[in-house]
Amino acid sequence: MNSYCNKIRPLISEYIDGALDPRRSADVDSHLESCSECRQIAADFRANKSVMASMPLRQTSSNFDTALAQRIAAIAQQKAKRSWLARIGEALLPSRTNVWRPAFATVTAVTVVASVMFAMRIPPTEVRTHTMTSASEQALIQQCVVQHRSYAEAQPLNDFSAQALAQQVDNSKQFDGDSDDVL
Amino acid sequence: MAYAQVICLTHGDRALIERCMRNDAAAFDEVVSRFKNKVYSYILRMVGSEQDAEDITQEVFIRMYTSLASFRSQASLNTWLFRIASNLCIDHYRRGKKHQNVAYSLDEPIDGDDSAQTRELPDTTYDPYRLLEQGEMSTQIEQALAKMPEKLRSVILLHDIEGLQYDEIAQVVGCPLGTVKSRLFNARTQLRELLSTYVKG
Repeated sequence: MNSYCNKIRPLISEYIDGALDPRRSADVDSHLESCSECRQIAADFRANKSVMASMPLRQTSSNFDTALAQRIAAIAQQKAKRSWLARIGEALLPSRTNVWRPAFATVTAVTVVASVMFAMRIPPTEVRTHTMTSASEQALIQQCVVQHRSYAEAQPLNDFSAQALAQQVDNSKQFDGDSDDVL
Repeated sequence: MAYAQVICLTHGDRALIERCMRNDAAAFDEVVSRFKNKVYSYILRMVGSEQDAEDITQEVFIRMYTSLASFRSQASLNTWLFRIASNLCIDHYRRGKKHQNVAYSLDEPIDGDDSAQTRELPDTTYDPYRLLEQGEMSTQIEQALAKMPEKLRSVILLHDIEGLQYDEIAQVVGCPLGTVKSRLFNARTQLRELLSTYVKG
């Protein structure tokens, strides 16, 4: 056996199956003509393959079909007994195969983590609320200003839009002689 | 990625599977009757025990029945069933339920009979000369196959006995095409060596 035999020999299996491309098949052909050892291997492979192809099928036992039918019937019965909830679950997740299971797990995990992070990110804001009970227009304006200042304390902004109303309220208080504790 | 090549269902297979999906019992029976002996023969040669082989063959068809909905046209029906069978054989090995020759004494007394039995039994021990004389080449091959590692045995059974193509075997055993080719070469080489050992005695 020479080094060329080592190169050709692994191809003999594919060669006898007719699975080699024409160029390689021709290489093996020409080698087998000159090498009796490799030629013998090819002949043995062919002979064994031929015998194996003609080996008879083994038969299952006579009660195979009956036993299988009973097992299938039991599974079908079990399926029919399943609760309506399980059926809804299956309808919602029809592709729970091995391919989809990791995807479902990933989406669920990402959703949970994102929800927790979102909940932790927003600080609770305390806003004082005022119930409007006054009937007169002046009292209503006063309450609006009070509420506006309450929001402004919680979230201070350079907002001058309420200055005119505040001035109006302050003036009316001076005329009415109201105390400052209202504002 | 040649081993991942998609093998399309034949028209007959597709129609049969669609009928099975519609709970057509006759279609399921047809699949069973068409494939049971092929699948059983493969499994028997893989696990060695008739009882285990029959149980696993039943399990193959039960798996097929329960996973019909998830079946996609990525394999032929033949390839799909052999893939299930191959996986179940691997499970069988993993559970350590390899077939073992358990020695029972056939001379033990039968219930209600105190005398020991003496029976005429055929000699099943391997005798290469006897086998050669009788021309039982296939018996020699069966015995040689039983001595081969499962991975090599599986590939040579699927190719040389069941007639699957290289790419179909790659799908069944879940390995690349190149691995199938090298396993088949190694299996044939090992089979040849085992047979030559028998001939030499």
